[in-house]
Amino acid sequence: MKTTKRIALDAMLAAIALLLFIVEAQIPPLTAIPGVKIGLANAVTLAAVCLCGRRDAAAILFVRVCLGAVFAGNLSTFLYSAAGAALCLAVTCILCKPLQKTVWVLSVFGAIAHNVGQLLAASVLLQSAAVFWYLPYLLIAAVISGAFIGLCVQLLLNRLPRGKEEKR
Amino acid sequence: MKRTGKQISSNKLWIAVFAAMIIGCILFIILFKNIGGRTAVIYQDGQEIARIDLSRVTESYTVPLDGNVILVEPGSIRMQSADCPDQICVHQGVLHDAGRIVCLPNRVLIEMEHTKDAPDAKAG
Repeated sequence: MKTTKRIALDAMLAAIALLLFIVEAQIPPLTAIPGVKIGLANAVTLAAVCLCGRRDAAAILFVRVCLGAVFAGNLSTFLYSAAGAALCLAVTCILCKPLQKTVWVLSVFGAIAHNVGQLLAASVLLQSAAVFWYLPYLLIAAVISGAFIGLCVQLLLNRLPRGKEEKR
Repeated sequence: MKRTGKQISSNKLWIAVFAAMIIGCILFIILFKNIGGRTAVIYQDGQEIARIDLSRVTESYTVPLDGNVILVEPGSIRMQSADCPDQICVHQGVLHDAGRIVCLPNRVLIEMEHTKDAPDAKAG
């Protein structure tokens, strides 16, 4: 892919991710369990890993997390979302080859990694391991929301013209 | 896309794996729901702020913290108000003998002390 086109595509994906993130921040919390959310913005990360490659996906995610904290958050939400996003990206990148055919499974693993990352950040910030009592609740939420987002991305990827994703 | 032998692509297998995981989590939640005591411990930034034996509370009073207000009543404790937008901690409701309330934005944790492994709760 030509550099200009790549920059434009990455910028667009980052904008979409940021928008989804901000819109989702306006939705009132679904449950009384901290950290449970739909994870709409992760759909873009997932699509970016599949379409643009890992390095571009990391850049898009970085932009989204930083700007997302500016527009819809504060320092502590930034730390939680950065920790979650970093672990989620790492797991997604490692598993994206073996799970290429089943994006929804990849998405579930990404969601689980995101929630574990958030809990790690929370346990450091609260200096207490007690937050890990939320892990079972968050795992259930991760499976449901991850599968949903993953299916969305799977449908999206099926409809996008393939064969263009050759990296450079 | 090349398929090298047995690629992990069986949807049914993964559905089974994740379903098993959800069932495991639900069992875990049910089994460990009632571990706790009658002593509520309040932490902020990992520091113990207060330790309250709820069975000895006779009159309700509030504990003001940096950003949150905790309401202590005879036999129960809950988050009365918080300055964060999502109010998750307020919606977590009342604690009687088990469970915990956490406020991530202000790093507040209310936990019913475990009867056995109380010192471990601060590890990490």
